[in-house]
Amino acid sequence: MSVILKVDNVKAHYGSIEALKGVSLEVQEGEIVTVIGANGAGKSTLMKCIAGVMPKSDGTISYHGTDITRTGSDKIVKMGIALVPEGRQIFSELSVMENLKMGAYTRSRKEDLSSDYDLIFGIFPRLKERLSQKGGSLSGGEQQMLAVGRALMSRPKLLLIDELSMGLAPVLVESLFEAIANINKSGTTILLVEQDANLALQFSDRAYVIETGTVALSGSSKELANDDKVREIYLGG
Amino acid sequence: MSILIQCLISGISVGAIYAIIALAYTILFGTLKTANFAMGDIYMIGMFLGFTFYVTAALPFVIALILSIIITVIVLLLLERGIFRPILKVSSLYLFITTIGMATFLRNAAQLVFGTEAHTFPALFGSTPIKITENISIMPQNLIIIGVAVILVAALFIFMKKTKTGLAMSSVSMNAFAASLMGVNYSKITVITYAIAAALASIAGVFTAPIYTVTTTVGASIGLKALIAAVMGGFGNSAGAILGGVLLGLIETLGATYISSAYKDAFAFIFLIIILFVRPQGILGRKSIFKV
Ligand SMILES: Nc1ncnc2c1ncn2[C@@H]1O[C@H](COP(=O)(O)OP(=O)(O)OP(=O)(O)O)[C@@H](O)[C@H]1O
Ligand SMILES: [Mg+2]
Repeated sequence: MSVILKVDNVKAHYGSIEALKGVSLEVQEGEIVTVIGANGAGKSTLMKCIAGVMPKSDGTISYHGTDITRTGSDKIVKMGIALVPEGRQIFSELSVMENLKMGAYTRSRKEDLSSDYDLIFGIFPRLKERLSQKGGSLSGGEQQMLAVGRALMSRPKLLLIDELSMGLAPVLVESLFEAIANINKSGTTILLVEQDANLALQFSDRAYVIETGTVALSGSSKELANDDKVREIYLGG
Repeated sequence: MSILIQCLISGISVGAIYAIIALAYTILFGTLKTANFAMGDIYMIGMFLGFTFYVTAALPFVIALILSIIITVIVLLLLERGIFRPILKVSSLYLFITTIGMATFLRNAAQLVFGTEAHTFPALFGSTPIKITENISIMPQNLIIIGVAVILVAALFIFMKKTKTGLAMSSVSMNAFAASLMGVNYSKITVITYAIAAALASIAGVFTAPIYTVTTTVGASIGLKALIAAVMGGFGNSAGAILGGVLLGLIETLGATYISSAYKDAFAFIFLIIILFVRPQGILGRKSIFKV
């Protein structure tokens, strides 16, 4: 297995607030890696840094060995990294179909997207029934499906997901995680930020625990799920 | 009755002019969330360039039009790159104020380049009114302006709905952050948006040159009216800009004919105040923009 993503001592600021104080992590090709941590720990900031929509004040990020620390998000998407952002960020006035089309923005105009649509409708049949509905009028769960589907439209090799479970019913979250596991099986590497540590550890190979802008712990998800400290703080004892 | 119909015809053709420039304001505000108050003077520059190429240089009309569009676009893009963009990095309020100052600057710069005289632009398609009935007629120039406005609106609509770049502009207008996650390059969209706004303003400038006197001050009042039209329709909403433009043209013309032509400009403001009182978000504006 080869390293697909390497984050090395990355720092990031919002004005004078240092949100990341030197984060390092590594993702191997084919893995599901999860990042857990309390509110405000810096998880979303880390994802934005990788996706190229947040400037890094120090450190390096490399993808397949190529330095992407200062690469813009347009190129990063093209290289094969897509982010499902926190809060879904659907284009509310665009239809479901147009939202998906936007996901394929970096792909060539000439490319046939029908197999991509089929793939996404295979994972999320609900989206197919709502093709012409406006993104903003979908339910929270449907929006999350659309956000994942939209990200898949760029055919990412590395899919970043920020808070898949946020605000969704447990049954739905469970099935979304199943969907992500299947996407992973078909060859997409996944880096997942999650509030629901229980579920995240259950569905991932390895995990990093972030505390106030630094990695506090890391290891296989099984190990961490049995770690006393993790159990106490993140798994509710 | 024929007076009323005559009035409606002139109202719509004046409204078409407001609508085109209102669209320029709207596309900038809707897509980039930045208000640029210099569009009236960009319109004036387009008009002067048209005059220079068509009258002074005696070039064929289509060539003069194309050259005017190209140069107006370049001027606005240079302003965007050199002035607006760096200032926007500091604060959007500063940009807002800068563009107000820019309008004055452009007017003065135009006086230096083109002089302070007023020029007349010859009628493009003859000045014999086209008779519709015995008492109702329309000037060819006004008919052309309505036609141009319809074509521009249709072209813009097709561009926004059917092209990849148009869809990207819509996404940026809804959620610039998500658009950048899709790989949309914000600088590129900024350039395209400003180019479209400049093209709209200069096309309006060239086609209305035969109606108005070509002076460096022509942009101030028309730019303001177009801004009123855009706000009235719901700032940032294209359909609203068109509706606002046409309504404003109609109100002015009807007011001038039936009430008093001396208060023509006041009608625009009175109407704006009434509309904003009843519907603060503008006629077609979305309330949600003002929530949270
Ligand atoms: N736009 C912003 N401006 C200023 N500070 C910010 C901004 N976004 C985040 N922060 C701060 O940066 C720190 C890290 O935020 P971040 O969103 O990365 O946390 P998180 O781990 O994703 O939290 P959550 O679990 O609540 O989503 C927090 O202290 C937060 O207040
Ligand atoms: Mg977060």
